[in-house]
Amino acid sequence: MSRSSGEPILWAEGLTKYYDASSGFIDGLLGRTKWVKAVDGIDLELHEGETLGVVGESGCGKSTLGRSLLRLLEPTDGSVYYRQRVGENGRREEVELTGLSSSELRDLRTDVQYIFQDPFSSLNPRLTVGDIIGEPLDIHDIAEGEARTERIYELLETVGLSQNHAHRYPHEFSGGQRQRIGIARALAVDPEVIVCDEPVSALDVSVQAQILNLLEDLQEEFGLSYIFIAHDLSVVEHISDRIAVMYLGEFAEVGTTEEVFSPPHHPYAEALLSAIPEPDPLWNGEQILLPGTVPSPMNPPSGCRFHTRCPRIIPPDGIDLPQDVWRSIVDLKLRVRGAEELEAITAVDEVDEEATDPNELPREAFDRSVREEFEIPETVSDPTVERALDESLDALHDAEFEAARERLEETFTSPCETHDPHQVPTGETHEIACLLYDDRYTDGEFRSDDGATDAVADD
Amino acid sequence: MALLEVNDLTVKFYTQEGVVTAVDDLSYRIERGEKFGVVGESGAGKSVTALSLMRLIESPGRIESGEILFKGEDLLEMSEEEIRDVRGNEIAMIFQDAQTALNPVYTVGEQIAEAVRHHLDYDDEEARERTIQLLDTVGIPEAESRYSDYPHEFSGGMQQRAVIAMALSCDPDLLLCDEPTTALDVTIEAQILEELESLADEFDTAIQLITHDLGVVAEVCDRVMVMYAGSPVEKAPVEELYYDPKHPYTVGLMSSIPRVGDRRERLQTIPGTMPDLVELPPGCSFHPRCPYAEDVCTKREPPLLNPETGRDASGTDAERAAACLEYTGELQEGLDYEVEIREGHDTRADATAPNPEGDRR
Ligand code: SF4
Ligand code: SF4
Repeated sequence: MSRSSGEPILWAEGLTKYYDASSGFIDGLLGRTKWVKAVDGIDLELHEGETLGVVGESGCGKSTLGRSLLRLLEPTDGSVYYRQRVGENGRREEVELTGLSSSELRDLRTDVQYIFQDPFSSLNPRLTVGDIIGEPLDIHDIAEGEARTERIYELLETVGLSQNHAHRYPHEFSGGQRQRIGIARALAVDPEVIVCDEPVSALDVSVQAQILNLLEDLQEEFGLSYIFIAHDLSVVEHISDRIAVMYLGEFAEVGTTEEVFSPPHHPYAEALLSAIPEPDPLWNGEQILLPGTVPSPMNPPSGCRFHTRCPRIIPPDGIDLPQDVWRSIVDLKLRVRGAEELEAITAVDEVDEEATDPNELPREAFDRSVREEFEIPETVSDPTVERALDESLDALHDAEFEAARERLEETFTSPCETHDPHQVPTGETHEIACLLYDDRYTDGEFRSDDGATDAVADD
Repeated sequence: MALLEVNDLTVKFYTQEGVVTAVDDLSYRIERGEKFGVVGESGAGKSVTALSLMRLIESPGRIESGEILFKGEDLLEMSEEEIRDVRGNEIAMIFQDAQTALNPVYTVGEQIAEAVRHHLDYDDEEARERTIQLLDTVGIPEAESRYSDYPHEFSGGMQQRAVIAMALSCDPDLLLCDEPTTALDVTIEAQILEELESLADEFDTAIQLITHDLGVVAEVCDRVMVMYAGSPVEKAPVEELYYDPKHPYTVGLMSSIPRVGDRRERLQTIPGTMPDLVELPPGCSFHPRCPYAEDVCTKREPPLLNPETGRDASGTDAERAAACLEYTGELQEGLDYEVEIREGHDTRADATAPNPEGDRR
């Protein structure tokens, strides 16, 4: 959890949301449940008047996180707390959101609101804009009659629309205007916290800038606190005070925008940042291309969940290789783990070559083909590594997959696969979940049995 | 002869609300192996441009006038059969949504092999081999095993790679890419763009890249055309467009993008929204949103001119063109903006090495 000064207005402890993804007859018959670990034990704090950005790629669980925070989805585990205003003197009282009954929860919706990517996708298209904005006023008995109309007009103007828009229908509006209406509706109840879920990702850039500015103006005017969820790093970086980088249901890093990105620390944050296409033709920054795709949240990788793609994955003790060769060997190992046939690990034949069956390749040609596929040099500088590779390739050549797997695991198991990285605080407000920043990592090596109290391998 | 030459293309849609001029008097050219960017926001007419090239404009849309010369031959004059031959054989297309381009009930491999068989006259075994090579070329690991996967077993990024493999299967001369990476995550986008670029170089394929993303254009393209409300408003080689933009809309677009490390409190915006294409504002169609608009802008439609010389630049040969009355000399006050070339791209590159020791406190 990130510590900033003062008490937070909203916070979560160990927030977890699993989905049941089992399907069909077989799963049912076997009583089998498959869990998608969309959000897996997240701690977060939101302070008054701040914007906490949550950034991550699709499937990382950021939207589920936003929804579970406000119980639009029931969390599987963990708690969410909110410090509610009581009375006029600004006194606040702690409420556990996750412990409220549904009617209590409904009352709390006047304090915490949600803005969706497309505010109208779930709405009755036959309601006028006025009624859309008025709906929360009715639900919470905030205003009726003349006062209700006044309030709607006022809200429309607050978000940069005009009174006569109240009588029109959603489809008459452009995307940007609709998002303004969505914001007006969220503001109707005079909330304190708004979770904004990809509020600008469907908008054109020029309109996106208008909405971002509007959100910032409203924050200033009404003292709002935002949780701002988006996949677009430049947008999140622009609007947020602090950022949480999310990967496969967990926070990889949390800190102020500066702490997280200038310079980047966590290897995933670094890769994300480097991948943004810069609107500058002469920009020559190095892009870090991550191998592979995001693994399934149903069966996330052991240890650090990023280890299957991390360019900086830590080699085991005593192995001395250039980092890219080491990464390639891990790629080979991961591939062999799931392989059932040799085609899966050998290079595809060149266009003009005779097609060959990898099962019939002589040992030497097979060796070359595998190394070519993974860009592993013909001989690796470290003799221990070369021996292990060689023996694994022997086994593979004989189609002894199990033996090859064992041999590979024996020599090439990274601490990143066997240790869960803790959230390591590196400053007042900055925490990183990466073993490179762990106390047990020194002089380029990770020692799991090195002094620290909890140095036993986590499961 | 240019690979592609579009002359005075006008496309209209006859809708219930009225006649929409989706593309108005558009001219440009693409040379062999060149990467040409078409930039604009929704409603700019970018996608209609691409569909016209494939002759895929459907009712109520109609290509009103103009010619589309591909290797000197007018696509608009061709028979259905001839155009089908060009489509897929010489011009291939990649859409934003890879899923619609793949048939869910056939395996990815079969679909590409089918295209290969069809276009290259290969037998089954050859087609299979070639397909596996293509899948491998576009960066699909375990190409051989993934051959028999169905599209839904591929991630979004993998699907888009498969579509690229299919597009490349016939070794086209021109690849039309319509927002090819918009639906993808940035780490995947980076992979795909790099793949596209290197493949285009390898096969000497020209690319027309349609996008709203100025970052993507900067990374990939040689020359760029910016469109607004159906018309080109600026054309330039990519570096000139970014460092010396000549049209107020281009300037507005650039300054409304949030950039990492930029400490501006507020973003510059272009006020208002894209006009209704049925009823374009008179004069310069950008005038209701233009910070430099003067009286004359509401009356006179600005022609595409060379911003240096003020001469006509509406043809396909013009390297540099902008449609703003500044260049006819009719603006009283003139344009007034500065392009600030941000320092620190390189500091960002330097800053990539984490230093765990030093950061620990
Ligand atoms: S713990 Fe290891 S795999 Fe995870 S981010 Fe750090 S270096 Fe990479
Ligand atoms: S012609 Fe006038 S309104 Fe149009 S871009 Fe130039 S200054 Fe702006």
